[in-house]
Amino acid sequence: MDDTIEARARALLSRPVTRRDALKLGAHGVVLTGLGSLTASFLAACSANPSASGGATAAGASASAAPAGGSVSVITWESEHPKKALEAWSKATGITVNATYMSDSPDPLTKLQAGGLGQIDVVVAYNGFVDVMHGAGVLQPIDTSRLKNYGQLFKQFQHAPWQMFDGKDWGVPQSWGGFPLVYDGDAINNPPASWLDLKKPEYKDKIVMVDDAIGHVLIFGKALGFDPPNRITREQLDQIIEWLIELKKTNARAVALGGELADLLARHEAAIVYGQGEEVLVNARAKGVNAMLGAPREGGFSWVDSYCIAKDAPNLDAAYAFIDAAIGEDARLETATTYGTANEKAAARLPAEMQRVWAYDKLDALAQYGAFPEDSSGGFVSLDDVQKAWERFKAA
Amino acid sequence: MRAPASGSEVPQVGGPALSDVLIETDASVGGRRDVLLAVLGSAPVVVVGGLFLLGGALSLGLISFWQVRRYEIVPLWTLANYVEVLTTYLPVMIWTLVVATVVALLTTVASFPFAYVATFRAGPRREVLVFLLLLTIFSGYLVKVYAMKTVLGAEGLVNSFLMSLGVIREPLSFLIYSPSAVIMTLTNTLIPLAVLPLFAALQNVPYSLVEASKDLGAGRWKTLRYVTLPLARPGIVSAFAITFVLAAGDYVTPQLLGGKSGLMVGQVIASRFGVALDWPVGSALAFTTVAASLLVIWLFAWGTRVAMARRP
Repeated sequence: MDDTIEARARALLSRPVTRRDALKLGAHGVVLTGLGSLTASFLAACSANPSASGGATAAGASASAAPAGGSVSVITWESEHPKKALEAWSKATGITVNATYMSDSPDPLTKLQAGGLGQIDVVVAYNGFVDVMHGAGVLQPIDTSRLKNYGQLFKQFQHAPWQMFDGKDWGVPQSWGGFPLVYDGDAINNPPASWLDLKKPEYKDKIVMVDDAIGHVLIFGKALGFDPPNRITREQLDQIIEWLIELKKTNARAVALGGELADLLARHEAAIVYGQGEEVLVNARAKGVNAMLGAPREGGFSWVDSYCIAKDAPNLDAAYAFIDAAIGEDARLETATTYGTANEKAAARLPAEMQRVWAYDKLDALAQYGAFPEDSSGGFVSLDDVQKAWERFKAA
Repeated sequence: MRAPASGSEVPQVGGPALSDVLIETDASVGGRRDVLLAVLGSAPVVVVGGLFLLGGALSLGLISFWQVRRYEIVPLWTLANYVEVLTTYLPVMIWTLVVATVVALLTTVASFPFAYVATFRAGPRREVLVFLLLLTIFSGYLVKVYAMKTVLGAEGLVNSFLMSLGVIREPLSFLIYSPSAVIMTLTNTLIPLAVLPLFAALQNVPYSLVEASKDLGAGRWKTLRYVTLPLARPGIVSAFAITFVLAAGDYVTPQLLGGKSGLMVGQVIASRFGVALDWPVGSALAFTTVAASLLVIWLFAWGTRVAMARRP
């Protein structure tokens, strides 16, 4: 193992990670996994600056068929953007990366629809939103044979079903994360064995709920027996929301942004939190909390972020070259201390402890469910219905 | 005793209201050169305001009557967005106005003594006080919000202090993650912005009138009530208006400190524009909030005018 990488990874497990833009949270989509919390998912969402990639080079990227010079315009999450590796790649190829950071998942769609077509080359979309952007006609299919590093992706991420339409690829996975239940082992002797146990009186005023509409509806919809939880009726959605309102009123201390969860545990303002990603566990431990991962029997869920190429991308060759570099081993290793990486070679270079926590051996259970319907014409609630129901929950 | 802040003449008894005298402007501006200078001077504000503020408002105004189809805004006219605002979001709107009103009142009342002292009592140290006040603005909004967490939190300054004194045994949970935390934080954040218009208004209060009131036998409070406050009313209304608008539109503080209830309209607008891609309802919410805010501000201005018009 690369000593530098190992040292960096171990350092992550023992020291705070920079807080990620909290707005990512509610916007991130999700996919139920069948993974239990211990095995589940990971990763996550927060932490703003990707760690420096010790030894990161442009090797993988420069080996690809990159055009000489030019630029590529990218809309991405800042915390998923492997800046150091791409800087080296830019020097090697002469391609300038003009990155704009998004504040929520719909950002790229909004920008593309508001005159961005023909200006923007690459955008990032989570598994549930690739479908939406494809439906909105703002993407173009991707020829994965032009990506030299595509074969380095875990097989579960190659030609993944949530981004295959008309037999073509419309996204290239790069990062993924989860929704774990984390508790303070010094304050909680009997952690909840089910998500529904959170209502037990023993947890009164000890829970902080994360501000995440989709995550709540999927998790608690599954726990309440609505399967698949992304295909539920209005009545079922109402049942979920009413259950959550009752949980909030009886046992919750607050509804907080995901980026605050570790701090809340550290300040003893919460004993149980959930959502955001296993980074909550890592960060809470770094702050001296005896943080533990819960294992609700219903499991958790996860999201997967992919690079997509915008329709009418003005720098198509550079866009392919960029994606190839950004999914490469060194680039993805740069962010693998914060998120799950789609690159198998990068994951193999992580310390065993991080591989265990991230549960890289359970990737088959990843991305079980996709997005909510775009509208409710099919009898199931739409994503907008879920968001409005969440507003009702927050106002209650 | 400080000299009068301005050299305004004392209006004669039976003349126009004092505040009317003080807000009169010199209308003797004349000549093409002055007009040209006025046009050129105001051009940047007019252009920027026209393009970005008015243009943006007009755009959102149109969108508020349109619809969303497959995440795309289409120009199909409808009033449904406003109907939704007045039905689904009415409780949130009312709660927001209540919180903003409380914050604006607290902020204005709390700011007035500072502005008064800085104007009439601080002497040469007045500039230092104002500078210190401005320094707090430089610290940044988010920093202040997070700082309040360290003050109001379970292990924060207030709870630690009270527990060390033995006044309480357990931290007061209502201090943080509650509507009161939102109100306290917004008040703390907005005080500097309220002091500035109050300070400017008090600068225009002729101290000779204050002295005349006292010479005529009025006590300190009577002078404040019937001389200083009416003359400072434009500043009071400005302070209220500025803080009200900022509080009504805020969505970060209730998100970070609001706890499990007390959703404010700013959070809904942010959600409609951002996560839900529902710009029409977001725009309708924004315009309804603006209209409701103007109404509240007008009521405050009218109320203060009526209250201060009373003679002793």
